[in-house]
Amino acid sequence: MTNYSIEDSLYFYFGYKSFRKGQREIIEAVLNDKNVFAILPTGSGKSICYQLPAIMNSGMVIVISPLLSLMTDQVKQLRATGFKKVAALNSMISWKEKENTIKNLDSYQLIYLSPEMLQSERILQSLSQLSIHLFVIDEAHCISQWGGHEFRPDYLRIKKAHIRLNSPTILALTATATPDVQKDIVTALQLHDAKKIIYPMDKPNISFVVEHVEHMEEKQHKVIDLVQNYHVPTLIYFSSRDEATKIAISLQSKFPKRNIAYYHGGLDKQDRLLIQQQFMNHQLDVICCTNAFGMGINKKDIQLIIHYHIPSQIESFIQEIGRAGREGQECVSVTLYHDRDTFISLRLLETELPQSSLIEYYLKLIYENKIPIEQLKEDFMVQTNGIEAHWRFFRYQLEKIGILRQNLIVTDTLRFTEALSTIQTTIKKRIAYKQRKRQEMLQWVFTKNCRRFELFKHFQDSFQTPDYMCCDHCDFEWNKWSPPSQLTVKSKQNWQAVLKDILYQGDIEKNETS
Amino acid sequence: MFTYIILECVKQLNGQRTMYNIYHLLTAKKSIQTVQDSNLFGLTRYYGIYKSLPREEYNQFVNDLAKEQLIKNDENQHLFITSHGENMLIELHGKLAPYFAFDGMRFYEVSYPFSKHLILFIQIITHIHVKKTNFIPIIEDRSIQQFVKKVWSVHKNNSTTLLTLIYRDLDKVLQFFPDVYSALFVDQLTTSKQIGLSKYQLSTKYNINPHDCYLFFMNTIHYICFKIEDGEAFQFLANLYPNQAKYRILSDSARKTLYYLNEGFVLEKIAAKRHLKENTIKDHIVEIAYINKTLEWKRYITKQEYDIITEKINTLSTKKLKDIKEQLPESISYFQIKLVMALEQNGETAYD
Repeated sequence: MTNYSIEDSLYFYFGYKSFRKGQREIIEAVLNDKNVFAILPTGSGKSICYQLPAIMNSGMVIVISPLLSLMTDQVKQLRATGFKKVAALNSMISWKEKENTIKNLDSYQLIYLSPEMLQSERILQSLSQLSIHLFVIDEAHCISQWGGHEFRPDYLRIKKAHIRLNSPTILALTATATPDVQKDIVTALQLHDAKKIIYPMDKPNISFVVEHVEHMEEKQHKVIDLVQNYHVPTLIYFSSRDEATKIAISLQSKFPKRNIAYYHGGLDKQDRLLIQQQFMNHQLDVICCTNAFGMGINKKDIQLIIHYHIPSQIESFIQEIGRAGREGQECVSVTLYHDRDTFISLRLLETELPQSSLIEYYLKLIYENKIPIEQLKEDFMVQTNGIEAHWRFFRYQLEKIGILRQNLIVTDTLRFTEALSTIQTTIKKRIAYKQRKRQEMLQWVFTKNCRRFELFKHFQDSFQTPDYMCCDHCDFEWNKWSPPSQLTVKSKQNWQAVLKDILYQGDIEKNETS
Repeated sequence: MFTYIILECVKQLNGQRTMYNIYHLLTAKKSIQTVQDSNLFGLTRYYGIYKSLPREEYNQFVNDLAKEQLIKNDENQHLFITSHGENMLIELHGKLAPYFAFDGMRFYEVSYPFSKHLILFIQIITHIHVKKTNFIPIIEDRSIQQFVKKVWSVHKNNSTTLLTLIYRDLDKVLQFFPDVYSALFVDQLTTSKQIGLSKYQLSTKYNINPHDCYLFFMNTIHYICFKIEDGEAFQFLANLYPNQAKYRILSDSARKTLYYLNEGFVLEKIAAKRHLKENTIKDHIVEIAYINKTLEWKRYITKQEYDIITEKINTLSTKKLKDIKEQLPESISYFQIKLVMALEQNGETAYD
């Protein structure tokens, strides 16, 4: 037996000298086989709570996570630190790689799975042969209908899988959960006796500013001013790819000496990877992005977050500002608002669910026996432009009303009209719910109260005293914010010099002048 | 450079094919028809030089050329070069010809893995040199990572020497090109000091359209490939050149079989048509499997059979067909085993 403390391991594997809020408590509890339900704010190092036990080899750990890119990033990062006994099973990896992983399941200490993978009998069967010590449910709010737009029907079946795997210790983690959502999580996972570790979500080192503009162009001017005046790592969030691209290009031409890029789901994989890495490597000052950016980004020195458009709900907003000031340094969130934004976000919201007419069309095909179940998904996905979430929603509705049972279609228990109206009612309810969420976001924009209080009141009764300025309704003044300038350098060398430099040929030249 | 290439293709095809044939040529799609066309019209050197070209961007680019009246199209998407376009072509030819290294038909398959080997190897070696071991590989493709790992394990001597060798090779290559080409190339490299720039960043930095940024880079890669095959005395680069066997060219006879397969003929029909034994055709199919991943393998083997065979191949250390065959159910044929071995050697599995 080694005598290393968990602090030693933390330092050895992750380079941190001490734990952050909540981490130690969680790790100790799960190491003692106690179920834990924890709410830790974004950026507080949630993943260490299960990575460390896995690395210390206290038994196999499996992690259910709906965020495929985050999963891939974490596997990459762990491998990069030298821990290779980690694997991921999800729909993104190739068939061959999946086969290989499944064949060698017992050689891993940490396995990431997407919730869909837990539905595979074959994978469940292989997993049940192993002795799993810790069963982690990341982003546990996806279990709840009220967990915002991320609701994952597959999450409701997790409990069954957990029992199949001989009920190992559960660790349910999330960054955002209103009291309603918390209740759903506890019920779905039967965590009534679990240790609850809930940390406040407010971030004492961030200040909030909202600026109402009269004309759309003013937003652009504001952004130009901010980028000009504040030379700190900056993220600017947009609700559309085109806008992010357009503003990034115009900023770059305005400030040729700065390094400004854009990032969104429309870039190819290689370019996305390059931009992310450049930002981490201090080669970029500003990124204009959509909400596709940020998951798995572990950059500690972002100090300015601008929302060019408001997100569709408070939870997303909190997550996005959570990427700033990871080391407690002073940072600012600026939200730009124009009255027309309301309409834009309303339109976006409606595209988050499949259209009623589409549901009717496919339900009819099902009832008339005109479409085999195998083909249903493919056809439906084509119609929704490949939006997987729409298909998941439809499939779950079919299961809920009992038409789809273990991949069999059973239509004789429910009439077509009833089935249709049930699903349509659900859609209406969901849209109404999303509208309420959007309304909450708007109320925050328009509030006359303290923004910190108004932002977090949905989640907690009080908040910590801010470390710096609070918000534009309390004490915020632009001229009191003067963060030290951190600019990236643009090399002006010719290619010969650059090539020599990056391949470390600086000194050799001198030694062998021939 | 993209303008030059498109103008040249339009001129050679002279309205006898549609704009999409040029797209298929550049991206190496629809193999047999395109291969024949490129031979027919003398465009083999453009074959497959821009596999990642998105269709919409291609359409956009062609439309822009038409707007500039360099080309014109008829209602059937057939393209013709204008006299204005002819002049432009001559002018561009004068500028680009001395540095033009593309030889698509010869290098379209090796050039991609080679460029990835080079980029990943440079990232790894510079990190090892400064003893940074935790970094995220810029190339995610597993087969590329494995290749590079192997090269590194053979040449483990010391990073200082390797860096000098690579530096000398690259410096020699890049001296040949105009400064802009070389600068673009160097900026795309990822090392422990810098992460490479993306296409759009290069395009802004040098005020060159993104297609040209890509093509300049690939042109340099084709140049290196040519030099390596030509026996140029590089000090290190040849070690990163992909394993040749995998990229060999099809025999003429196998090529004919591939043609019929693409036309939709079944194995037995092809044998009858060509007065060959079915086994010969099967050998062709295996040959094709080594280089081409796009056939419909399901016709010859089910997923279950594929799984059983891969499992056996992986667990048995032998490569002897007879030994493998003996360990498998009788229903599985030699042909199927050979097919799986060919597909598996291809790296990424082709079966799905």
